[in-house]
Amino acid sequence: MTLSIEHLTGGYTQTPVIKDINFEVKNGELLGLIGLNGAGKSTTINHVIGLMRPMKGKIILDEIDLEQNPTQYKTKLAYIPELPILYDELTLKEHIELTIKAYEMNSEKAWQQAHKLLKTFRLENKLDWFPANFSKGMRQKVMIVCAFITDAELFVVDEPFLGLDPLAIDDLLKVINEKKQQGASILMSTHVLDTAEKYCDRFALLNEGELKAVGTLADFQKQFNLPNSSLNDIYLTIAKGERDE
Amino acid sequence: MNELWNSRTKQYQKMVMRYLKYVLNDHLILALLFFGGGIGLAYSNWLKEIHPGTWYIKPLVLIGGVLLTLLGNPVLLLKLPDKVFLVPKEKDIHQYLGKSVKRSLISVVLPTLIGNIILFPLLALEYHHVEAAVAITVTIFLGSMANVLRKYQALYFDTSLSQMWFHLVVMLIAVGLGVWFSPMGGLILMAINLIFRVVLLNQVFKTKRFNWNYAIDLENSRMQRLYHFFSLFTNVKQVGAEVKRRKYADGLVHILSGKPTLFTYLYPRIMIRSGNQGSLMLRLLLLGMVIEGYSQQIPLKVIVGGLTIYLMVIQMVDIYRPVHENVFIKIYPVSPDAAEKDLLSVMKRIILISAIFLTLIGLISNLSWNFLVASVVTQGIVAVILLKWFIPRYIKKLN
Repeated sequence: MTLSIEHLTGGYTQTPVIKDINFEVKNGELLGLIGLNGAGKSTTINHVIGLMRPMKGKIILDEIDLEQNPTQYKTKLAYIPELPILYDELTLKEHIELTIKAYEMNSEKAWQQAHKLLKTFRLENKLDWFPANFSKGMRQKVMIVCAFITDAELFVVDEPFLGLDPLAIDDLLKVINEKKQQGASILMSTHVLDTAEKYCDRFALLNEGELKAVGTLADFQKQFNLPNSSLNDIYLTIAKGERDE
Repeated sequence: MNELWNSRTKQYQKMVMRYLKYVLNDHLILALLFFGGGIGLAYSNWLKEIHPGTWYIKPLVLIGGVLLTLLGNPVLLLKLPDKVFLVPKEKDIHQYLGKSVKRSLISVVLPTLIGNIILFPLLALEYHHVEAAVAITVTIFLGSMANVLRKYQALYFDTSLSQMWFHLVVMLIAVGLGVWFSPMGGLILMAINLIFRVVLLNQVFKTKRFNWNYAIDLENSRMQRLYHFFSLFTNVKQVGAEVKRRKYADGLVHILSGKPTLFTYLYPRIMIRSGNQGSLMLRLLLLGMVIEGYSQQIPLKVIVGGLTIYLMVIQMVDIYRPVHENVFIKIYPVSPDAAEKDLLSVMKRIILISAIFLTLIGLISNLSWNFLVASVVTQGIVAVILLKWFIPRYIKKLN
């Protein structure tokens, strides 16, 4: 499953926040979307998950165009927001049930996967609790479980590490890796560049709404003439350079 | 800190005045007149029947008096961000609280006064001397003030003697002394207790650490009680949802869901558990059922039956909004029409169940074909209007 973003221009008002963005997230690939605050990461994600309509350009998941066939596109997509969004009135179990209904999954199979994930994230004894009352990290785990029980082929993960304990971060990265092995594509926005460098296959670097570069760390080192530099160093050099211009 | 208190008091008064406009409406005043008149009449008749020296008057005064000393809460006007932004000013918080104490002491006067007015005839009957009755009344006043000061003391960490049981023991001793032995003795003891509370609170202000979380939670629950009261008369957006599991209502949730799809799974759960809509629906249904059960007038019962269903649905239909405020509804792979279709399906079930209840209860007092036919036809017409016209139009407007 490949996500193709073609000449995407969009924003919240008439003034575009992101301008002419082009990149792909390939089959079995984890692509890190990186950029400073206000670079356009969330706007890009909001377009990819279908919450905003592009001013120009296309978002295509394999051959399914989001604009032409939104329902079919959405069956293949799962999303983990930066801040957990949960129903106050539903228990953890009911959030999982709701996800199963939304994606019309086989209940038995989905619950098998759910129990596995609940165990991994240490939530299995909280099924009858209201997750809206959990801590931020626990709520984030609920979002992770609900997203990864689906058979989605594209996972959009927005700043997943905020609020998670180190063990949960490690578990999440393992789950992401498993999904990658199964052929899913993952688009992940993050500021935690050390982790991104270790786990992402490629990176898309956004700055002031424009795509500065797409590629692997080696590509970036070559492109910006910074051999042996870490992703963090390259990112800081580009960001500071842009700011000082 | 003084400036902050002044600006918050102004905002608070403005808010209270705005809602009081809705609370003090003609209907309420009329209802209060009837209610107060009825209770007053019953109370005066009861007073005529009892004689001075009846064994239970003194225990009754003691219980009533001690309960009156529990009235009153700190009016803190603190807000959640204060625990971040005001922490550096904690050394000056006692200035803010000093103003708040004055305000809270003034606020406790009115409810205690009403309570004492109710208690006074009983005191006059028992003691014959105005001085004794006044001494006990003042004792109770001072007790309620001491209780307010105790609550302020409890806003600080590591404070002793701020527990409720300690207050209750002192109140029982002071009011009991006044009621059984010496009204002046009780008054003096209570005055000493109040002075002790003032001294203790001043010391706490100077030496102890302020418990921000507790104080903010306390104020928040006071404000929520106030908002809930106002919400009986008008819409109050600050009323927080009181989400409860309500496991006992799972059967009803399943009936309303039918064969659940995404939205029929969601709507009944939010309705039943969110507190606001579910309890409103139940209150309306119960009120309708009471009128249906007691009235003999067929036309009135038929109109009330239809009106109950209409009112229930126009309140419940608002469930569409919170469900759609969750961004996942836009991300899930579901057709946009499903939300409306499923809302109509849940509403259909609510109408059907309510209509059955209303008609069955109505049949108890009017077991006749006339009532049955008129009730079923009217509710059918109301259902068609709501399902075919009102709900689709409402959803269209929201979208």
